[in-house]
Amino acid sequence: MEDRDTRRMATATKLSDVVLDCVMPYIHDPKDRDAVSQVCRRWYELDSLTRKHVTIALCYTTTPDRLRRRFPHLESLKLKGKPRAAMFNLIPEDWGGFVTPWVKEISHYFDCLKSLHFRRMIVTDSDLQVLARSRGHILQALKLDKCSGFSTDGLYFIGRFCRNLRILFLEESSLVENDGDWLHQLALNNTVLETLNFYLTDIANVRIQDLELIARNCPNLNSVKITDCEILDLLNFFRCASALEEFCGGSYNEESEKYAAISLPAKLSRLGLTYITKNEMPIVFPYAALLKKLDLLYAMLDTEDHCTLIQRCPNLEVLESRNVIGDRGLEVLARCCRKLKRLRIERGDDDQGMEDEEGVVSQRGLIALSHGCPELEYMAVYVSDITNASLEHIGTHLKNLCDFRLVLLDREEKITDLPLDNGVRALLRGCDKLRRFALYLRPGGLTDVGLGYIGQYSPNVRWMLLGYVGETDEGLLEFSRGCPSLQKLEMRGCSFFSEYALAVAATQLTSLRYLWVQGYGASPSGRDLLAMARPYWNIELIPSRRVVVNNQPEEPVVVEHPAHILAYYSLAGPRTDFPDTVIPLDLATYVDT
Amino acid sequence: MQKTEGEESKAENEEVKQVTLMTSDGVKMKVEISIVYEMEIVRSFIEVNDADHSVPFPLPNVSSHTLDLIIELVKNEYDDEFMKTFSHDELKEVLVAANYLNMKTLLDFIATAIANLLEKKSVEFIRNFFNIVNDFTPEEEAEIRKTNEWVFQDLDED
Repeated sequence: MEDRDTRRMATATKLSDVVLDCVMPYIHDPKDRDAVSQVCRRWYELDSLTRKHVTIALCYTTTPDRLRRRFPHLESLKLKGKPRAAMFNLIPEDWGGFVTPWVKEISHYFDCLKSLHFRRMIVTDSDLQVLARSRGHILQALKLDKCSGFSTDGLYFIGRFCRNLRILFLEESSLVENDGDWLHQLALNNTVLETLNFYLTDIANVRIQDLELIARNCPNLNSVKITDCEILDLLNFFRCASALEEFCGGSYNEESEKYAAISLPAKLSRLGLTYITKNEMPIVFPYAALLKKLDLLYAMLDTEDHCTLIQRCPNLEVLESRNVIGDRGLEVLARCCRKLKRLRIERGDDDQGMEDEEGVVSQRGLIALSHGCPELEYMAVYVSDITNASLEHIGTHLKNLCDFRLVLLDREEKITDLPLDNGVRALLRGCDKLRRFALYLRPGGLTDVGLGYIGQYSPNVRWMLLGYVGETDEGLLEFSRGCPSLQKLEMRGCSFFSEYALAVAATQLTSLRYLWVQGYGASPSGRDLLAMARPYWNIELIPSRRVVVNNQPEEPVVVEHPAHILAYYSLAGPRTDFPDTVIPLDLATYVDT
Repeated sequence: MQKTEGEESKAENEEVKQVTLMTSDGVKMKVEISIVYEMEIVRSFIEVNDADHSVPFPLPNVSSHTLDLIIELVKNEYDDEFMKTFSHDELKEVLVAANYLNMKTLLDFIATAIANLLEKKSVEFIRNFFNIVNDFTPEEEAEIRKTNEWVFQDLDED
């Protein structure tokens, strides 16, 4: 009897193995893969051997060696380094996030690796050389996304050896340009390129002939984002790049009549118009009805121009622009673009004179959007004025919103309706798909009660950025009793929160694994933060410091940067590659004091 | 008996050829040749041996119930709605049979369906679905959970 049961169990296990073997190749979502790996030992091994893609949200949570042992046959890796605040120049350049140890491991072991994405990391020319020489023949995608530390000398090796590269992405990396040979090498050696992106970099030395050669040799080239080349010089390029669907960059330095005859590739549907003015804008009109994405972040268009252009784009799904779009522009958007899914309105620092009399973004624009664009999933807006009612409208109508970010600018002294406690509550209750949420206000923008609402009504939010919200430790502690899914919390402008309350909040937030705070009630020793000390939880401080923010030695502009806390779970233990500006906080330091 | 019927239908309707399959529970089933041809294991045998289609081809790993489901699925051109009526056990049995019979389209269809079923499910659900005993020590399990949560989950885009 027992024997039969054992045999039946064995058969069942064998059948399950067959089923898993068959099903495993169809399970791609990392979270589902994570679940599979926790089922039993055999499944863990099967997942280890067959996992193709991994994202590591912070490179210091593990080590290259651990990654290799867990997933030896990775085909694609995304690795992120510096905290997000680095994008706003708040993190010391040499903070860390070096790719060198990862590149070393990759060059020795990961021989299936085809796709590599580094974000906010420090990459050296020698890293690129090692990578190109060891993996150049199989590398299909290289993304150096907001990275720093390298030059065109390193890119030369990529252009020279990575003949199978389909994606080369350098957007917003701060790199040093020595010459244009890297692009020439790429043009000579590559026939399979699909994406070429050096948008928002300091690359200026671009030979148009190289771009034309790439367009001629690479029939699948569908996305090109470059810096400010004269558009009139790109006519041949556009003629050759017939598969092009996305283009960003360019500049307009000649009389506007000369641009009238420009013909863009027929499939173009995603466009970034840098430096374009009202006078050249008509070149877009024939393509406007096809446009799905429009990036006007660096366009020289005023509010009226925005209205003129947007009303010709009924199929727009993604729009990025600056405050100069104004409430009037948003009203046109709401009226004409019902398919809009993603909207980003950045602050424009030099928009004076380009805006309407009332050319600002406020509650008026938000209310229009909430009625006109029901498909909105992502909305990130800098506003000059705001009301509770506008947030209530969003909560009532934008049911697909999963990422909402609002920053209240400080240009207006008087705000119509603060605090925003009730509006924020209504928005959070209404938009129950929210996964990411950012709220950056000003003192008085949200009371402790409002902060408590955020805790109570964001059951699914995983990432949160809060600035100048709440009033006292009570509010923070109430907040931290909620947010059951919150994994990553970033806070700024909260001098009224004590170290002790921050530490307690960090331990109360049950899912938290990453905390970054700047501008809290810092003490000289940081000792109270030890209340959050626990195994695997790394705590690092960047004490307040004075930073020179311009490049003029005669008249340096010095800014006081308040202290930061960064704390995160890591299986790798405390890191050792930090600069002097970073002070790891550990219990042992305080034992004798 | 089987043979006679086979001959009759062959005579009546030349274009609808049938092959007799014998399932693990001893049931003889006549199946249209177009369906049988999706079963690589049977097809290659028939092609090589030019076999007499009326002699039952044995399928010792496939039950008559499972074969019924497979025939219905193929006849219905892999209809999602029909498949949704399957129990978890039936899904697994069809998958294992499709794998054994080497039916590529069916395998792809069922494996996708099971992968979708497992989407966003807990570890416990998956263990129950596959009837698997957890053989990790509590320490090992905790370590894997920590790694998965702290290292391999990505949240923010910007």
